[in-house]
Amino acid sequence: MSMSDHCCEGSRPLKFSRRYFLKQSGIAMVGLSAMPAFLQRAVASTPMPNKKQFVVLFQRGAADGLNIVVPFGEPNYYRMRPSIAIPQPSRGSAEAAIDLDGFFGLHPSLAPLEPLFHKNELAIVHATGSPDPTRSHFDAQDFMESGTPGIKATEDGWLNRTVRTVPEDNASPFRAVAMGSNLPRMLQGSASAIALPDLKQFKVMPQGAGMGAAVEGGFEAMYAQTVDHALKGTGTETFEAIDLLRKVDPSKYAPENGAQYPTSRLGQSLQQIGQLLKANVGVEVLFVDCGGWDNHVNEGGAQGQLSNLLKDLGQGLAAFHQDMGDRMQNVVVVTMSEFGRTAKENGNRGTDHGHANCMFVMGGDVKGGHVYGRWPGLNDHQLNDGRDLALTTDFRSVLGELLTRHIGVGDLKTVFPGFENNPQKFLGLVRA
Amino acid sequence: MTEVARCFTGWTIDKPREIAQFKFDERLHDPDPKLVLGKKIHADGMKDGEEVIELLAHNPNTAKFISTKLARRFVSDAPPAALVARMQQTFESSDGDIRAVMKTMIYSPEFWSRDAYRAKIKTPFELVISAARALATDVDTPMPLVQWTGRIGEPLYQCQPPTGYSDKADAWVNTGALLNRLNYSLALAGNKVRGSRTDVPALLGMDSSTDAKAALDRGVQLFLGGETGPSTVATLQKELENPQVLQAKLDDPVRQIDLGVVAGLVLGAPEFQRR
Repeated sequence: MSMSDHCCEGSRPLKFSRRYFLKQSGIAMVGLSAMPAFLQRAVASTPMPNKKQFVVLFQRGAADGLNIVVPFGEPNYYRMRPSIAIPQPSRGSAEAAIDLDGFFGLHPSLAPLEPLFHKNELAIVHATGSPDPTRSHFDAQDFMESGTPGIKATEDGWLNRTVRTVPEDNASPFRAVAMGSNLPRMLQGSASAIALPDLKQFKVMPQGAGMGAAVEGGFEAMYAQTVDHALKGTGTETFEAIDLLRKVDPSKYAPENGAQYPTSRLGQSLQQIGQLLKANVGVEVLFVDCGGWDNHVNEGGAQGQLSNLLKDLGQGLAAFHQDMGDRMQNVVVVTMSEFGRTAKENGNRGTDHGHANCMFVMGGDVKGGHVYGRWPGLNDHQLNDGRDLALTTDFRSVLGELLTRHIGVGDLKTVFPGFENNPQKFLGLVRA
Repeated sequence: MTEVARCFTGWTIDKPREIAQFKFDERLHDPDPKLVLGKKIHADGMKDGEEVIELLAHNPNTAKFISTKLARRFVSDAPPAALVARMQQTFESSDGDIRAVMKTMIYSPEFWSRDAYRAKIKTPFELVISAARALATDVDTPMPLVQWTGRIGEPLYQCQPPTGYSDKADAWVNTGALLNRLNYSLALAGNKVRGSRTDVPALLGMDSSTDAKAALDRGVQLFLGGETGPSTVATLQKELENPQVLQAKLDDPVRQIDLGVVAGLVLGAPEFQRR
């Protein structure tokens, strides 16, 4: 017999009692066993300092990995990209690559990430991605999100399966969140996940002023009373989520440690991610995407289209890192894009659809300060199909390690079916 | 897959941009033998493809697959196995006559059972359209409705897996999507969807009302066919009679119920989410 059975015989005391208890933090008043599920969840989702969190950032449109993490030690890089190559590092130049290890350098617009690399909190994996040879954005994104390259019929995404493989009683309604109005393919599936375009908009929105509470109360009561099992469960979760978020009060958020997020959509999404993680509402996996990377024409070098995107990305990630402060110990952020771009620039000073790419891995328990992965070389005979960076690390191996060592996924076979994810072959991105 | 594709080589469309008619082009056909589902196919020319169709149509898995799909569409997300088995039998004995299979389903006790009554959750598309129809909404610009359909979880024509959107509830019922269903109902009934116009007072047959119960009863009658739990009206009435909700106008000291909100609430009811 749960407490809700006692307290909810009237028309809507459920709502009152729950909010009352949450507000008063009156959890000590009742034993855990007598607590209704929602309260147990609220308790479970409040003090869990060691809970690991995982953020996936998807660069849609195929980012040009060779100009993001520049192999400036490759003479052929400069031959193949006469107008868009990033110059070799040179002291004091804001237009040159930022030297990481004597061979690779960051695009100058990613300067905000340089200190994180040297503090060993940012690792880079190069020549990685999906082994499927497709050059279609649509198919490649599909494969990277389903986690099954080459298989179109997979219905759910690998991030959803990740959540499913770590079952949790009384999981928070915010356990898996995508920043955006639609749930991405990666998070679709049977584990519940929320798409949040804007934290401030996650509420019942009636037209008339001052009607919010009444309309929400009406909906909440109807869904609490319904005999419909599925709708009742989801309804309970929905109104709990609204409640939790109201407590967080998203409109009053100020980033910490002087962090300044860009005003772009990506910057604002990252800020909201920071806000959600700090709110202790039980978030475990988060997804955010950003577009504009498909630069076939006038991609630019140190300045230009790609540079602008990278400024946004670099400032956004650095601000997030700064804002999170010590909490970064529990967070790993990973970036991915559907494929890389051709090693040679095309006739329009851009690049076309390629193959392997780079991924960034940022976090407190990341063994950063290193560019991981076997480098296949950029000489003509070393290129994939004679035109792109060859692939040496399957993206599922990178993700497999992060999932295993960071959030403790035990069953990688379910997350990436049909892929032999051998821990011996992990790159060593995460501190044991 | 490759072998089946080889059987269909040569099947093409004549002048696709003009008359778009089917055509078999012998020159494009792969004449060598193929192996499909353990059977050698070497019927020559266009007959290769036809033989594959025959082979698949008579495969028992096809009868089962199509029967399951139909029963899931029309009966429930997890249709009774006995029903599917009888449909499959009809499929086989009638040589794939879908009309006969549908008859087996419709005349079955399972189809009319209590469990199957309104057992299906509306897809986002069905919800968006059914609410607009229930409100007799005048739609000038459909795009905003299309966008709502996407926000509720079914971006039209954008399903990524080739198997199409799911016909089971668990794909549609999640926290974010449910909230959007509620907000869509409120926006549509409150005339906040661009390009759509709804006249709720005319629909409810009342210019204005100070009586929350009367307005709710009318809404439940109209939108839910009167079918709702006994407490729904009482619950909503209590919320609506909250003094904050009643609008006071300067020239009309009698407080009025916002009929758009009444309609939005009723359309957001669990009962309206079912087909």
